[in-house]
Order: sequence, then structure tokens, then C-alpha cells
Amino acid sequence: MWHDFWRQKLTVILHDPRGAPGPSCFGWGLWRCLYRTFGNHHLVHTAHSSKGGQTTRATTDAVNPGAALLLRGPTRRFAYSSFVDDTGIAQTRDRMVGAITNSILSAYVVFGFPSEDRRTPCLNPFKWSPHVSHHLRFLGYHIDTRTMTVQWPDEKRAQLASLFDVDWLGPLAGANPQLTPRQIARPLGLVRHGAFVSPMGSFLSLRLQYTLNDAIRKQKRRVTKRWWHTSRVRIPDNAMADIHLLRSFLAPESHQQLWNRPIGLLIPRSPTMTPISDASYDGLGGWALEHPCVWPLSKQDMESCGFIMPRGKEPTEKERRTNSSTTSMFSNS
Amino acid sequence: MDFDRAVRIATEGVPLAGRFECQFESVRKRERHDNGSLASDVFAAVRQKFTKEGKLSYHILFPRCLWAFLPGLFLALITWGRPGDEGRMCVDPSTILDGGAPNDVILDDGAANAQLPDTGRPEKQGLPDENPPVYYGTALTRFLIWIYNLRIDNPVDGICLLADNSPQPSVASFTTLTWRYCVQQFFRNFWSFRVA
Repeated sequence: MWHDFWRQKLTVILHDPRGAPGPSCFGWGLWRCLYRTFGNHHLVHTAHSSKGGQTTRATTDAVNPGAALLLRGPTRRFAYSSFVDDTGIAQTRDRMVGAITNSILSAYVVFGFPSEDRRTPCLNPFKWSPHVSHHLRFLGYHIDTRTMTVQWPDEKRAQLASLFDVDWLGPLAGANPQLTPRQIARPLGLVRHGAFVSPMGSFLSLRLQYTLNDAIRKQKRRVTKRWWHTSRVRIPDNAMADIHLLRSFLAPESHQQLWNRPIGLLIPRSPTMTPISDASYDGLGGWALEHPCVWPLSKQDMESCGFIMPRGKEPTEKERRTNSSTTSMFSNS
Repeated sequence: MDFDRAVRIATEGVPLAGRFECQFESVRKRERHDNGSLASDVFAAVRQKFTKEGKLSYHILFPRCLWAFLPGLFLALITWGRPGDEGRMCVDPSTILDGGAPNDVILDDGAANAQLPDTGRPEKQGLPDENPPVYYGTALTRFLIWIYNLRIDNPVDGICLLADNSPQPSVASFTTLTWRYCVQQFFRNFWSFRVA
């Protein structure tokens, strides 16, 4: 009996993205009672949303059919994503208050309602954000639903730059500094965090990761807490070159785009079209069937765009005729 | 989402299944260890934490001298971490103790966490009741997938975001955890108030 009772409560709360469920939902009476009691909760009433603005579109594909279909699909995505005690809520403006209410009620159902225990309530109104917005910081990243991008925050970049400036590139460090494993691990962790948005960070920290791995392997089973703070590891030249390059990308006023990425590139998607292209020293070109288009670029085009093209032997008359017919075919289509 | 398992965890307690065994000598090692890894400057902080949680009945004081008479008892060390400026008390059922005496050949099997099956090992698959898989690592990606699909359905409307933070996880999330009745009496940590 208790299993059914809990299942009803959890199912009602988590399955309905609209806020209060409709009369057809099982357990609606229970929910209506909870909703009347806590639906006017002051945490919900403090939520304000900003005005809308220009938005970036998203494209359907085989794995992203849209939120309505996703709710009923095999993967069963919901408006809530929890990481231990942090829950990200995303919903349209007209459904946001209902989504927040659901989240508050869920917390109370699982962890206990306020004033029923001498323990403090699980939600602290003083730490509750009073604003909902198109812009959110969640798990250390800035998410913007208008531009549909995720950004690694400026302060994270400043923190990483500060670590490099003090321990790695400071006047006392020298050309090949000898650092403690902890001093190596800290920027590595930060870079890996930023690498979710910018894969370049992962690429530029590979040699450093191998350096740390080698040091740990040499220690074998003697890796202790003291070792992380006291032993010294020499940083090789190639890893230092990567650090210099990475440091140059951390300036707050430049390279913003390197740490900013569209959401569409961060989630699993399936291709919506298949372009085919090829290139040679005489130019490049391609075509696509789904969106009928072709693009020819001759050697002269490439040179006019600034590309340095190799100077080989002059094409024969036959090759020139072939190139000419191909270009005219592209032009006609 | 595995609602059936969630409901069982909420009503029956955790772990839903498991086999915990250790040698008496391993428990003795931990009792003798006496939180020796803690620096003396954090003793006052740990004592203050215990006093506060004892007041809320999160910890029930128990005569230490009886530890040897409780068959099946597992002890957990107490450590002090400093993730930020303020320290935190950590109950540590993971640390494996090195042998006590030089001739001690008994391997330490008294760490309760070491007896949990590893969900990542293929031969341990199929034991989710003992150690259910968690999906914290995909939280951000799942959130972004939801936002992207919301944008597909609502190409023009504003999409609102809110980080709903349960700011007292130690008070709310973890202390409301229900232990399975048959194991709850066997997991204890220990602290000697004689050391201060």
C-alpha cells in the first residue's frame, strides 16, 4: 500500500510538466490538496521573469523531436535536472510558476514539510533566487536561452589565469618550473571544467595530464596526501608551451568566443543533411542533396581569399577543359 | 527514472540488498585508531559539530566500551575536510587502514564502502539494489537537451530558467536518508570526548 502511495505522489509530481495536473491524473485529489496548501507558497510568488527578446532557433532531428514528444518518448526527459542539491528548472514563461511549484512540493514531499519537524526546512528562503530569467548560472556555466549558448564564466577564466600567473609563469617559476602535484592538478581540474564548452582546453592540457600521470605512476603505491603537497614534478618544454598558449586565450577582453558554445553543439544530435565535398590543389567544391546547393572554389578563388596555394606544373589542355566543364556545371546548377 | 526502486528506497531504506562482512580485528583497528589522523586544532570544531547534531538527535551517544559486544558492527573514521574556508566533518567509511603492528598480516576489510559492488565493473552488473547507478554526471547535458527541445517547440517564446537549490543538503538530503532496518544498527562512527 505504501509503495502505491509513494508511487502516485512521485509520478504525479515528476511526470506533469504543466504545474498542477489535470483531473484525469491519478492522485489528483492528493495533489490538489497539496497545491492549495503550498501552491501559493511565498517562494513561488517571489519569482519574476524578464521580458522576452530575440531568440535563436533550434532544429529538430531524430534524437531531438521537441519537448512535448520528448516527455512521452523512451528517454523520458523532464523539466528538472538534479545534481545532488542543485536542480535546474527550464520552462516556458506561462508554465514556469507551475514548474517551480512542482519542484518545491517535490522537495517537501521527499524531505519533509516545513513546521512538521524541529529540523529546518530543506529550502532556505534566504538563499532562494527571487528571479527567473533567460540567463542562469548552473553547475558553474552560464546558460542563455535567447542565444542558446553556454559560456564558461569570466571569473573561472580569471581564476585559471591567476593560477598560471602565480605558480607557473611568475618570476620565481623559471622556464621549466618544478611544481607540486597539487599545483598541477588544480589548473588541470579547472581546464577540464572549461573544456566542456571549449574542447581546445582539453587538447592543450593533454601533455600536462600525462606529466602528472607519469609522476603518479613512478610513485606507485606511495601516493599519499603529503606527496601531493611536498614532492616536485618538473614540467617539460612541450607542456609549458601548451600552458603559454592556453594562458594567451584567457584574457577577459578577448577570445570570448573560444569559451562560448551553442547548445546545439553540446548535446547529442543526428545529422539533418549530408554534404559531400572534395578538394585538390586546383580548388575545392561540394554539393548536398537535402538542401540543393553546390559550391565550387577555384585555385584563384582560394588565393584571392588569402590561402597560399602550392605552385605546381601548369595544367594540361585536357585538365583545363575538364576543370572548365566542371565549373560551368556548378554554375548552371 | 526507476520509480519502483526510488519508492523502495524511500520506504524500505538503503541498501536494498547487500552483504557486509569484516573481521573482528578490523573493527578493533578502527577503534584503536581513535581518529589519530585529525590535527589537534580541529578537535574543538568536531566536538562542536557533534554537540549540535546530538541536540537534533542525528547522533545518538552510545557507551564506547560496548563496541566489542556488538557482532556485525562496522566503524567509520572521522576526518576533517577543508573544501573552502570553513571545515567540514566527514564520516569516512572508505579509508583502508594500513596494518597496525609490524607483524600484522590481517588485511583491513573493515571499510564498509569497500564492500559495495562497483557499478562500473562488468561482473558486478546486475546488482543495482546493492549499489544503484547514479546519473549526476549527465545532469548538465540532460538540462541542455531539455532546453534545446523546449526551443524547438517554442521558437519565439521566452524560456525561463531557475536553479532550485536545496541549500542544506547535510540537513535535508542526507539526514533524511532511511537506513534499512537490518543494517542500521551496525554502522557507527566513534568519537572520544575524553580527547579534547
